[in-house]
Amino acid sequence: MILKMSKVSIIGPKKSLHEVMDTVYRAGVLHVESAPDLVKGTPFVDKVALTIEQKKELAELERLSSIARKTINILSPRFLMSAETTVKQTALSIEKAKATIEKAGNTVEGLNSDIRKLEQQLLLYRRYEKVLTALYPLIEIIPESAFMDYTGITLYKKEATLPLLEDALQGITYGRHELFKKDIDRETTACIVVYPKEFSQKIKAILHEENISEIVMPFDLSETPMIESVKIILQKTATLSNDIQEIERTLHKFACEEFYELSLSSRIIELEIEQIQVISELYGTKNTFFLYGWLPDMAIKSFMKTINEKFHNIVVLDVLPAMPEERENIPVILSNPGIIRPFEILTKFLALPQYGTFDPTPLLAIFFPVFFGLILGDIGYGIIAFMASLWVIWRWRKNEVVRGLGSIFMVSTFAAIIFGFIFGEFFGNLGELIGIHPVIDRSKSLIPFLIFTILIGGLHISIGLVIGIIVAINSRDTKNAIARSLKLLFVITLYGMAAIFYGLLPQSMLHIMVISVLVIVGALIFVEKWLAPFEAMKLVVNILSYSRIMGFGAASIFLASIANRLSAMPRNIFIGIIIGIFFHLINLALGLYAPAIQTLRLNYVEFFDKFFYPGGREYKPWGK
Amino acid sequence: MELGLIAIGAGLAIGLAAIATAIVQAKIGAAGIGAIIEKPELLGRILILLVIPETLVILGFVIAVIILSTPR
Repeated sequence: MILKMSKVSIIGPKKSLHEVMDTVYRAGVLHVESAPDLVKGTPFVDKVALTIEQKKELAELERLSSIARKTINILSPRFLMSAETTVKQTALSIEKAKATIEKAGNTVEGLNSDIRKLEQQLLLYRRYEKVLTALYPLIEIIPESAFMDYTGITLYKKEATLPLLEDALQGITYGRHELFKKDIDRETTACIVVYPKEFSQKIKAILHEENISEIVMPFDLSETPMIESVKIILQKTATLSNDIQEIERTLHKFACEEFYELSLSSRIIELEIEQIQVISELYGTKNTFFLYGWLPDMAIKSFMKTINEKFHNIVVLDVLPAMPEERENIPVILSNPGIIRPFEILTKFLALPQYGTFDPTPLLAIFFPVFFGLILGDIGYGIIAFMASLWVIWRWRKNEVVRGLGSIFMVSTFAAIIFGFIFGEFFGNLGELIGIHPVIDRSKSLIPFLIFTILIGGLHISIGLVIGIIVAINSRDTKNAIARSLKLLFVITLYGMAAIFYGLLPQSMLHIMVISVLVIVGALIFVEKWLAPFEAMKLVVNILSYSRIMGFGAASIFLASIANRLSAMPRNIFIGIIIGIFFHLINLALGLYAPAIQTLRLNYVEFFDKFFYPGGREYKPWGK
Repeated sequence: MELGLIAIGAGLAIGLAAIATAIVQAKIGAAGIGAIIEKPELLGRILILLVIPETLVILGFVIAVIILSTPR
């Protein structure tokens, strides 16, 4: 059900603005709306300006909100990975929230920047690691000397530059050099050339001319002797990973301990920002302010009482009539009884219905479990899934959405158990073995089951069309009301023709039915122009689409039977049981996924299409 | 011979419908993922668009069942 909403205006003196806003905020029921255009365009009416203190506070809060978002982004992957988390049950004041964000921001930013720096360093050193590991044994045997110099180089084997280089070195040093080489991989050789210092310039020039890559140490080690640099790099490559892991652990611990408090602080700051921003959106004259908003009818009385008691004769609260042009903008709040409420998740998953239209949640709460049960229809699978749903509800009892989804599956799997008894299915065809006899054996009566599902489809679509007609009449949408009535007649006539085909109605009525179909389609063309034939065809396809209930149901039972047959094949009973469990688990996973998706599709596409107006604005009350 | 042809007919009915569904779903799926990355709140609508072509394969399955179940 969509709750009835009312628009209210609150007009009062500017000096009471903050007190009024605080009261409205604490009441937490008003969905604040911008002032109507008529008011905005009135002379002497302008936006309510924020004071300098408020502007400063807003800037500070926005800075903290930005820090909080950034910190939460860094912490959330670590927090999600952790099993142990600490929830601090403390009430947070705004000052505490600010301090928490500031502290967490500094700590996390510091640790994160340390990780980034170390990772960059590690990345740099890793580039050298391969070459230096190959060269290290060679460098170690080079004696320390004040008169000798050495250069590290890498050569591509296929370019065959080594003999040419040796000749060139011979020409420069007249044999007073030593060249050590070691293969790095199939393509590259690393070399160390040791020579007297006086040939340094000439050797470096020849290397440059021949385009031979000299090993240049990282910038931070450029002043360190090569042998020392190599030792440092190899040592640091090993320790840097440990350092990074150590900081990661600290960050992970911090995420486990502080994430909840940080998230809560961030929310408090966001609410504070909202509070100031709402004030900046208000309009008023020099001495008065105007506040507009929507709230549910049921909350008006207590809201009026609160305002009148606190601001008697100071503030005027009026309930305004909703203008027809405002209809699409009226916020929507769904309200359904306890057992149906979880199904609101499925409605919202598609979209919120527009205000003044129909909330399909109660019908979804009936048809979703029924269709799901019809497709799965197995006692064994149903019991396992039912137990799993109970566990999900218990495990995530504090998470409203997951708990809701668990409740939906609990009801749906219960329906699957009931249909399991009707179809006599227990892990496929094992029902017979334990004495469960089918009332209807769907594996042996596919065609009757197909006809049954198509009948259900016709009924479901007819219900959708009836609701669609009521919604169209309520919205004074005559064209749609007539078109939907004609479509309903078309569906009834089609079923009439099918009844004649199966001998349930006399053959003499066939002429009447054919003429009726032609008249209905003609009238539809008159109402919906060239789209009408497609709409009629779409209705037929919509109805046939319900045959998926039979299709997926049959697939489920055949797969279960195959699993049973495979498990009976091996001579060893334990291998047979393992095979059986494995294939039944696969079938169970498919058996839960496919019915859920197909049932949603039947409801969203075939059913909702007849009456649903998506695009409702969510009711977001301003306040605590 | 006749039984073999009936089986081939049923196989073609579901097989060709499945290929057609797969081609269409591949295109909708690829575009849908792109849209969801931009706007995660579209997941519900994209899911519906994605399963719309499945009607083809369901109809193919129904035809195959009817072919196989027709009394001879």
